[in-house]
Amino acid sequence: MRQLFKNEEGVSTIVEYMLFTLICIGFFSIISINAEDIFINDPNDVVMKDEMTDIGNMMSTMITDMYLIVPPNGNIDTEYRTPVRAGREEYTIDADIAYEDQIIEVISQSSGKKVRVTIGGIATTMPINGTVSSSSTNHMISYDSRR
Amino acid sequence: MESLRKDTKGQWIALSGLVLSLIIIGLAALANQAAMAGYHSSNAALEFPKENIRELNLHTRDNAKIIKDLSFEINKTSNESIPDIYTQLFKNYSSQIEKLHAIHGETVDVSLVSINSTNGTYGINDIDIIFVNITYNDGRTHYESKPEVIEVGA
Repeated sequence: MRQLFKNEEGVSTIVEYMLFTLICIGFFSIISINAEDIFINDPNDVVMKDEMTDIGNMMSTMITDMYLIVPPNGNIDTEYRTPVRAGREEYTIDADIAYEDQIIEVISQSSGKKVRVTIGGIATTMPINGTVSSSSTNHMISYDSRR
Repeated sequence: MESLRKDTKGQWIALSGLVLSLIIIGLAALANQAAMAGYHSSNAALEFPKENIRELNLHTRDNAKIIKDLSFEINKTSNESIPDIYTQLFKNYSSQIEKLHAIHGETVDVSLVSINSTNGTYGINDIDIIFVNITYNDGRTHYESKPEVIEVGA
């Protein structure tokens, strides 16, 4: 082993150049074929999943907080802001399935990516419904005791 | 310079430099992803004025009781009726709480709707339920409790 490391014969400069060139060509061809996936799609998937989970958690937090302070006679409504795009895609927040499954869905319509967030069983005592697109101008959650 | 270029010792140090730099690049990529996570959810928890609204309610409930006791005390040395004194004191409370919330940029309105007594008289143990309208608005969240039913019975 020690002999092998000390011995510097057997590799000419030209062979070394050729080896390096071949390795570089191989490396770059693999990278350029997969560039779209490696540099755009995979990071986009990660960002979308993170951001959609984040937005789902935001909805869940707001609904839970509101549930804690709803007036017995009266109403409460709150506006909130969401980013128009998660990653590169627009998405929809869907609370219509909350009543049965106790979850809120954040769905990207263009790619079908979907994140589900639980709302802790609130919908059994307080019906929750509604959908909203990330690109619409007004986002609001409202509660009215008389409805 | 010549000896530096010809000297081929220290390969392991050069190699470990490469390995360390790759590790640092990997950690930097991970750290960048972590910075993205959890902004909106934590922001919603911070921005939503849950505690403000809850405090406004609790203050109003506490004060409705305190004002009741206070108006009986004042009634002993005054010839005004208890409901009149109560209305006056509640008006004071209302204007104070409105000013306090205005400092924080919130519009608050607390107004007395009615003083109720089940047997029709307004003695020390008779006033039992107070109706109060509470509204709260901080520009983003609008809260209305019309009326808030406050039990002040002993």
